[in-house]
Amino acid sequence: MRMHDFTKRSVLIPLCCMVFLLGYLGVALSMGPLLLDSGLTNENFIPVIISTGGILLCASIMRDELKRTEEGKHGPEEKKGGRFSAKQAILIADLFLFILLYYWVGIIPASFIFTSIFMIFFDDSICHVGKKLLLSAIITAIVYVLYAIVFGVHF
Amino acid sequence: MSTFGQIFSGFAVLFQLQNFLALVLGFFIGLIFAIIPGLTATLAIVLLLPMTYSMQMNTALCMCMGIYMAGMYGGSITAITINIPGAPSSCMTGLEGYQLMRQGKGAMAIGHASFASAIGGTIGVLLLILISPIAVKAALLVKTPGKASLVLFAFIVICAMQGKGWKKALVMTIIGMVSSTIGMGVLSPTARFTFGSVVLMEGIEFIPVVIGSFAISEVLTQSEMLNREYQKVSDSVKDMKINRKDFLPRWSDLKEIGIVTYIKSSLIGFFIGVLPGAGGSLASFVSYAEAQRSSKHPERFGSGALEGIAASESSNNAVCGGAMVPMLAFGIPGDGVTAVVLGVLMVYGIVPGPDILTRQMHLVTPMYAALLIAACVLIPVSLMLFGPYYIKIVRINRIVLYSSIALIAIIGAYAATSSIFQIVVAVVIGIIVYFMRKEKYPAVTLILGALLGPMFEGYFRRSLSISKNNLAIFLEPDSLAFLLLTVFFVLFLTKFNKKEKPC
Repeated sequence: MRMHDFTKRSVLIPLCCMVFLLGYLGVALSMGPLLLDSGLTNENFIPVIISTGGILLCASIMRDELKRTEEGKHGPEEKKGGRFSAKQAILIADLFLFILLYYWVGIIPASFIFTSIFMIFFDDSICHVGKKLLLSAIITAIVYVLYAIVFGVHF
Repeated sequence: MSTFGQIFSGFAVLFQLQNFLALVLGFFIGLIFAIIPGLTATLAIVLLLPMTYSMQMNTALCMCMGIYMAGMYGGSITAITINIPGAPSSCMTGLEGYQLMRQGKGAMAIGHASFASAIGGTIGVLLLILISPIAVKAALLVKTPGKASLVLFAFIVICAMQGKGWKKALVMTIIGMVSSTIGMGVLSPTARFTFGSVVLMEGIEFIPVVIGSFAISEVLTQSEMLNREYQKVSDSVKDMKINRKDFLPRWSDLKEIGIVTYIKSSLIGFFIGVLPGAGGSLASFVSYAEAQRSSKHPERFGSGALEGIAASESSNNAVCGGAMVPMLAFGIPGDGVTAVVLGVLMVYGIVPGPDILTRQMHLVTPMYAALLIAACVLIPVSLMLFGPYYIKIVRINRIVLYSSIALIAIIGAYAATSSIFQIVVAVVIGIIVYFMRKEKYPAVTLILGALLGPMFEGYFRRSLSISKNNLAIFLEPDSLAFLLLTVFFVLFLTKFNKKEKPC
């Protein structure tokens, strides 16, 4: 086993889950002892049980994945060579940008900017930007008309 | 009112203009989502979920039923024509249907698939209507400890269904349960895992979790597909022409398939649907295998056997009726779609269980009627009216499609909760689930964990309060029955999963 093996996504995911569940378990335990006068009915009983089970499962998945890596077998996507692309990073950044834009310019302009960026980068090509901006405006308008008029949601 | 009287009043509610229009609209939305590879009926209902807030409950439920039935049926169209199942449940249909397509009998295969879907869907709903009263009686026998064991049974069986990936499914269930523990406690007004934050006090709502898990993660997954790959799929249907008259199944073919195949497959589909987490894919696989086993011409399977299409399609549509039984009687969803429908019920403050099937039948019977009309009327009518154009749906501009889905999802998370924090939750969950799905961690078990987690905790702790912390309360007959069933299914599924499935 090498340190490098831990950077593979198939190993990294259970590792991250394990760290998250360890933190959760720590907080659950800090809520008080498990067995007080109310015994098993304490608020932290189920969280402690499920997180402990989860940690053990994650450790087991990690062990399996490390074993597979040692044997030269890889996860389903790693085998195909599928990697997280710049396009996906931009789409994720766009999702967070929507939240910032919501505060800066309001929800409707934020939606238009979000959809425009999404349209431009979802496609492989970046041609017809003007057409995409127009389409974004139309989609934004339709979605808001749908929500606000048809379904009566107030923004 | 008698059961039949209630069913008729359900039809009366369904035929109110807004409810019927909602059903038809839902059916076509479901059909579009099922035909386009990558999109599912679950995603269609997820996107609809925030909009249901302003709808009347019956209208929203009729729409969901239309989506559900069409979602099960529509996947067969691309499975047959281009060998890409629009929904996982149509995988077996594609094995036979695509062979017929290559022989120039694609329209006939679609016709048979629609006919079988209509029969399977109808039998499934009729069985649902017949079995519901029995399910209510059974549900009334289950006390609090039994309910805790039932939820545990659902968790374990759903994870065991995943075969080799059961550990990953269980981790997702646990993460779902963990997310549901944030906020106020289940039995007492104690804040848990909030770190003093007011926004965390309101907890992580179901809608952002579901939108993140299904919609945002799906959009990110689809962005991996290159334009030229999509273009190839789109071009393959460009010059495809299908005649309406070829859809009509010939009497001789129907006789050869035999009524027994339809009924047997529908029964298999229905009872597999009753099992939590089993879903249409398993039902169509089992029925297909059974049809091949009992066929007079098993050698035809794999080279365009109509029996295979009939078995696969009638069983996956019968699942719709079956999956509603545990959802309505016990609040345990049978598959991803019923999990989201359960979410719709909870949006309206309705807790499924024996009560809904006894005192609130006015909410349930329009759902039965909607499923029945969708199966026996909308499937054949829509095929004859729009059948030749179905395949053109694949050519929808995917940039427009996915941009719209992304915007509807993100606005939906906001519209449902009026909280920007819940959008952050949806986005973060969407990104995490996207990476986890790449490693075959199933999103549906996360949803079930989030949905059933509080129920399990509530029943478990209430049982212990009743018994003064004596765990022996879980050995009462109703609870013990579910615990033994759990052991039986785990053993059975371990054996079953060793069999190799074609897709």
